Amino acid sequence: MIIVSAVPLLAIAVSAASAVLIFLARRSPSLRESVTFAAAFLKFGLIASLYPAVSAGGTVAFRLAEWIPGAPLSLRVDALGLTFAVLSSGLWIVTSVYSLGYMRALREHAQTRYFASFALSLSAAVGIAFAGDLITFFIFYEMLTLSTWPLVAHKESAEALKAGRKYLVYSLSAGALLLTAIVWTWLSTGSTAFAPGGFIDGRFHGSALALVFFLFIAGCAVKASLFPVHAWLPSAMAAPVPVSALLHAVAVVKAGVFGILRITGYVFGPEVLQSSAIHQPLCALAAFTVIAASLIALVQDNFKRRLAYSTISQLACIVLGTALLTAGGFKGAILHLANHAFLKITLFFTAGIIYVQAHRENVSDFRGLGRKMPLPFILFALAAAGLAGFPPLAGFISKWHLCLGSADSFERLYMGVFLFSSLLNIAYFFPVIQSAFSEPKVGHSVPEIQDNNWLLLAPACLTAALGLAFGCVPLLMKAQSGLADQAVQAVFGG
Amino acid sequence: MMRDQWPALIFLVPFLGTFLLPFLARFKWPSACTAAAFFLWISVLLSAAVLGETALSGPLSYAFSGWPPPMGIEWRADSLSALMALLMTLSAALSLSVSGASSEQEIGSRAAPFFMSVLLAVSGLLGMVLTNDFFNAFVFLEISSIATYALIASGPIRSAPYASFRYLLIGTLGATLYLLGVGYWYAATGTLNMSDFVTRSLSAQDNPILMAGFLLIFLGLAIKMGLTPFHSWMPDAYAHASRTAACVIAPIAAKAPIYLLIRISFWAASPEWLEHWHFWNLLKILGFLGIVTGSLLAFRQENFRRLLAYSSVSQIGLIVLALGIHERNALFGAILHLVFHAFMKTGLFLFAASVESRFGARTVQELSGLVPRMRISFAVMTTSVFSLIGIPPLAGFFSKWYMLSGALLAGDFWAAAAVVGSGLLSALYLFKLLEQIFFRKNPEDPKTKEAPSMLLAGAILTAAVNLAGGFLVPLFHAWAHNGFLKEIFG
Amino acid sequence: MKVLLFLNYGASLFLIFFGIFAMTSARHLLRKVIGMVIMQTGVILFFISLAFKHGASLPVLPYSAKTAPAAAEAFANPLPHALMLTAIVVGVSLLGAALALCLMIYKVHHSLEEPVITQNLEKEP
Repeated sequence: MIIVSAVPLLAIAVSAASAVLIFLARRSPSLRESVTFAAAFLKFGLIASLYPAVSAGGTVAFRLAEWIPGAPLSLRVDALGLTFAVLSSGLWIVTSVYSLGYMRALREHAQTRYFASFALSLSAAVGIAFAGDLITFFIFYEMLTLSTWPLVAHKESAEALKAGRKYLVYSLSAGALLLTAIVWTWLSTGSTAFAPGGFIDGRFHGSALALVFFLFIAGCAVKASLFPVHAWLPSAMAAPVPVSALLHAVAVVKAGVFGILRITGYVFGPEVLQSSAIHQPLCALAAFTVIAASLIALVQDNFKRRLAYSTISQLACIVLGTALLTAGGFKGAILHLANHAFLKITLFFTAGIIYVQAHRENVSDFRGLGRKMPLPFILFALAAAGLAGFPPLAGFISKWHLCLGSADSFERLYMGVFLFSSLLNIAYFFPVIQSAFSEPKVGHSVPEIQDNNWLLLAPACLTAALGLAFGCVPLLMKAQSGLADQAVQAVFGG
Repeated sequence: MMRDQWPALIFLVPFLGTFLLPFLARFKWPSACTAAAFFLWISVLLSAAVLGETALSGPLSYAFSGWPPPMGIEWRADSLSALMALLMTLSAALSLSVSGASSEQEIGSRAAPFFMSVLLAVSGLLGMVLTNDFFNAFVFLEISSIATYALIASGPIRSAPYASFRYLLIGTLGATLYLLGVGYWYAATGTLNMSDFVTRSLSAQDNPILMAGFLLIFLGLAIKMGLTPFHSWMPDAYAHASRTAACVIAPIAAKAPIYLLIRISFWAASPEWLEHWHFWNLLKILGFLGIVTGSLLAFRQENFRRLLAYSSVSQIGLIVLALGIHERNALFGAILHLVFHAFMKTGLFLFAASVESRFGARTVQELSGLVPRMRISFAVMTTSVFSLIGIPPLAGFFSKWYMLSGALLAGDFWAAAAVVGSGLLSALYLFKLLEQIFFRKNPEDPKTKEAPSMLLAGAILTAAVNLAGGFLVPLFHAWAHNGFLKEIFG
Repeated sequence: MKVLLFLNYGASLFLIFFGIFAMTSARHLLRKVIGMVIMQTGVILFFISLAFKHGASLPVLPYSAKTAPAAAEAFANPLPHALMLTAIVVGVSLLGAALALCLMIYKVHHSLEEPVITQNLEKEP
């Protein structure tokens, strides 16, 4: 059941328009910030309003234009897209509060550029979520790269600029590969519109199929931080914490993973991939990334970099779940896309709080800090446990489905990868908690702790609460699971 | 019938207008710039009318003095030449319309001769695209070139005359080679008329004179369009010219030789000997070299206009590469890029003119200090830059799409890689430019204010074309596939 | 006769190459200009040679052509001559432009030697 409505377009446009308003309001910080909040609430409201229609089994569609004859541009809201959009826009509200506190506390410069770029990035992220065909997807994909670049390079230090350049090189190159794959697909199949279960339909054979799949995945792999194109993410930690939190734990990287979900389920489809077995190298690569990134995280001293490698590892879990081509794995991937977001953003938020209040960035300097500022570290412990897969936090549910999915798949060994990754999670997070709550070393100076900044703490508490709620509140769990099931049904069944 | 004379009028109006300018100089109004722009706008209307006519009822043919072709000189407006004429007149008219105030500052008392040269240059280009006679094309090539040499020499007296002199030497070499090639073709077939040549050369396929002539003509055109390795005149010429001249000439001067190249390789020359001599591969290789050279050298430039000139070298390389793919979609992409690139470059040169006229800013370093007060100008500039890189949904993306489609359909993966690679190489120097402008802290000059409004308006218009390019693509597509693509590929 | 024609074409090619050589290797700008003119002259010679026919007369129709049609072989081909008139005019304009540019260059740099000029330009004022 397809409903035609301009709401998806409005949802995308509202934050783009707010970017312009933010620019116009550049002289007045409070006006600027109000615009951000108004836009964030409006956007979330618009997106949430699509939930009833989609959860009832329908899709909301809107045709944009037909600029390239034969390849119309359209928006299409289905369960998968709605999940990503709700996630991004909801967390934008939270991150905006956090940004406010962070920017004010550090008296950061260029705040207009910051907030405007943020708004545009969210436009792009929701655009990716709602894209109904490959070209629309590509338009917003490139827009995401462009709008997040000023955020990565925000600090304008040599390190930040270098990180920005690396980010651009990786992302634009990936875009080029993606474009090649899209044009090739269009020429071979005559269509670019996403279709549940894929639309490739035997137009590609043998090595051509493998090559075009490789190009698609390579195009998305950069944003999804798969090995070996993951290196931009740790460098991008040179960005301010709210940027790392929302964009590099939620919007940008999840856009990459979302792209892989779309390609697997809505361009190629499980049957085509199964029969040609081209998903197997991808599984192997994802599994390798999971383990390798976790191992590297163990030795990172800079806290944000440790979180970055943890993100790489978790994202690879999602990709692995997708690539296993089982209903359970796909569902687990969609669930983990959301659950990891809540938990990771909490972790980044705590990193920012520690930086703002205690001016510490490295794990080795955290010793004893927890005793002075317990709340951030408690939130950290909660979120870390969630990522490791402890019930009743949300991470448990998604890890559960991922493991179930791997049990049904062609290679049971991958279940071990998921379990091992949980173990490694504990290994690189637990010592941080332990060190924070232990006695400070004798002779070490006591760090100056600033007062609790509630603009920073409240969002962190909220996201941690969400991480808990999606693991044990039946209403929320049902809603999330319902959407995921719908997506799985569309791709695999029926 | 009046209708048949429109192609000639498109040229005649600015050409005759040239000679009216000295008389108008006696009066306070209109200024030479306004008068020149006025004549060009009339040409724009005529070109649009001719384009419409050719779309509806096929090519228009005009025989000068009534002497029928192939004996007499024939001018022929078909879909492609009408489009080129419209593009050139529109681009030049736009630039001139908005350059009035800024040019006064720069040209001052020499206004009449300067704008006469502008009109002559544009008229020459128009003659080149509308004519159906090879030698006639040479004549107009030289008319346009001599006027361009004068325009380039109008810059700062220290460096501009020398840059123009060097351009004169290389340009004359190119034109002479072209003329020699035409001589070869005349010797082999006995005709100078393009359509007649096609029929006569069919019976003389293996004649080596034809091939040699073709090579000479190609070399001549390659020099004139700034194809690597003959591009060395372009950066100096565009960097040292006066800013008004650069705005008018730089976006369109190379396009007329490219049009002639399309004519001779897709229409006039025999497909067999082109294949046999690997001409298409030659185009691809030279195009690729152009892309790489232009991009890498642009990366190292501090002077903003030199950077734009090298960028042009790179884009011309891309267009030639797309021509070399020798496929329907690729040719369409090349034509799209010809059109959109003219607008992108006009916008960028107008931007350069505005910062130069108001603040004397010539280098990228100087630009970065101007950002806070000139935000609209910089926003517009950034739009043109993104379009140049090929970011969707701006206009530059669509030309890349079609070039890529053409390459993939022709099974030419190296060319496909080169097309996407060109986007990445452009991103290299353009993002470096953006980074230097927006992210480097430069002391803000408190005296800065927004660009002169006319120049800004012109730049905004070109940015609008880039933004709305997507809407134009289906129109172009329908027009091309019923027009010249059908004529060439069937 | 054929040999003489080959001489013509050979000469024109020689002039063209010599002109190009002068344009590229001369250091004095006026020598470059002279090279340019020589090159153009070579091309003009080439075209004129194309117009040659054995035993041909001037391309003017005699009075008798009014009644009896005249054979084309009896007259030299006038078209290349006409083309070359145009080309000569173009060449003269180019020469004028080139000399004007040399004047301007001399005014600023007080020399027409290329190395001196490039050196001058490299030193920013």
